[in-house]
Amino acid sequence: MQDRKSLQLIAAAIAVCLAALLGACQKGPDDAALTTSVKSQLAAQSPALASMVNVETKGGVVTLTGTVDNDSAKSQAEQAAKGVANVKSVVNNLSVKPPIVVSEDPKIKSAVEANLAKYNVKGVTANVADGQVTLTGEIPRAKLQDAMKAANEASPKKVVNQLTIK
Amino acid sequence: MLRDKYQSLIAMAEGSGVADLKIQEQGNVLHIHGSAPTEAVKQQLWDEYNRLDPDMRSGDVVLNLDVAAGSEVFYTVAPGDSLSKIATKYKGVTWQKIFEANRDQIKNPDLIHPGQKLRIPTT
Repeated sequence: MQDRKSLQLIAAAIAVCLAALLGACQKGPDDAALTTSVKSQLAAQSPALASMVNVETKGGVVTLTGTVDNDSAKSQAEQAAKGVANVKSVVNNLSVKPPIVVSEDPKIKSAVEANLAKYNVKGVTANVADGQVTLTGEIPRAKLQDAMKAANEASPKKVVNQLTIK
Repeated sequence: MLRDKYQSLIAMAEGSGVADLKIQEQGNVLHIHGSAPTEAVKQQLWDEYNRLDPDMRSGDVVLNLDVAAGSEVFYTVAPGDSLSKIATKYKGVTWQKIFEANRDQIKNPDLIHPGQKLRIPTT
């Protein structure tokens, strides 16, 4: 008798638990609230990223759309969304911009040299390797921007300024 | 993201009528490419970049701006100037082009006055 009673009790307890669980499932996580959480998670990591990503949630499934700069931004957004509690899964429909075109090294070098002459910058040497311009030499501060313009406007991948600024 | 670091520069570029504006992070470098409507706008953007990175040593920006073709440039006539003399100061500009662009204020191409502001049609 004793055993039977406790069994009944356990069964009742399980039933209550199941009902509570089912109730929670039927209600489901609030999609609008999830969208807000994903957006604020994105904004916490990078306001710029958040502004480029649209978030939609349906039945706990988050869909990301929009265009971002590169693959790492695309996966960063996905990871951020996955990290939000109650998100079931993330559909990453973000597209990535086509890459910026960088000139060939000899073209960059001749462009930097022509630009240095155009901006009347003297005493600066430009080395170009793998799309990267490295500026060396000595320059008065007043000519720093001109030297940088000369390098930046040659469509390089990157500009490294090792100039000594007088 | 570098877009966050250079947020003010991006906002300025987006708000100042830069044509063909492309902003993109690539290989940890923020590329900002486009055609500024005037030399002054280009300079304003460079000054903002310079403000954010005073010695310009971060190596994380490529600010590649030209000034839009056909943008207006003005020249103030000095004593002793002639249209052909002024034309030699600008690449690809002839005295005829300056004359055409200033028909409203020049009746006779041989007669210009010091202090006159001439439109220079640079292309």
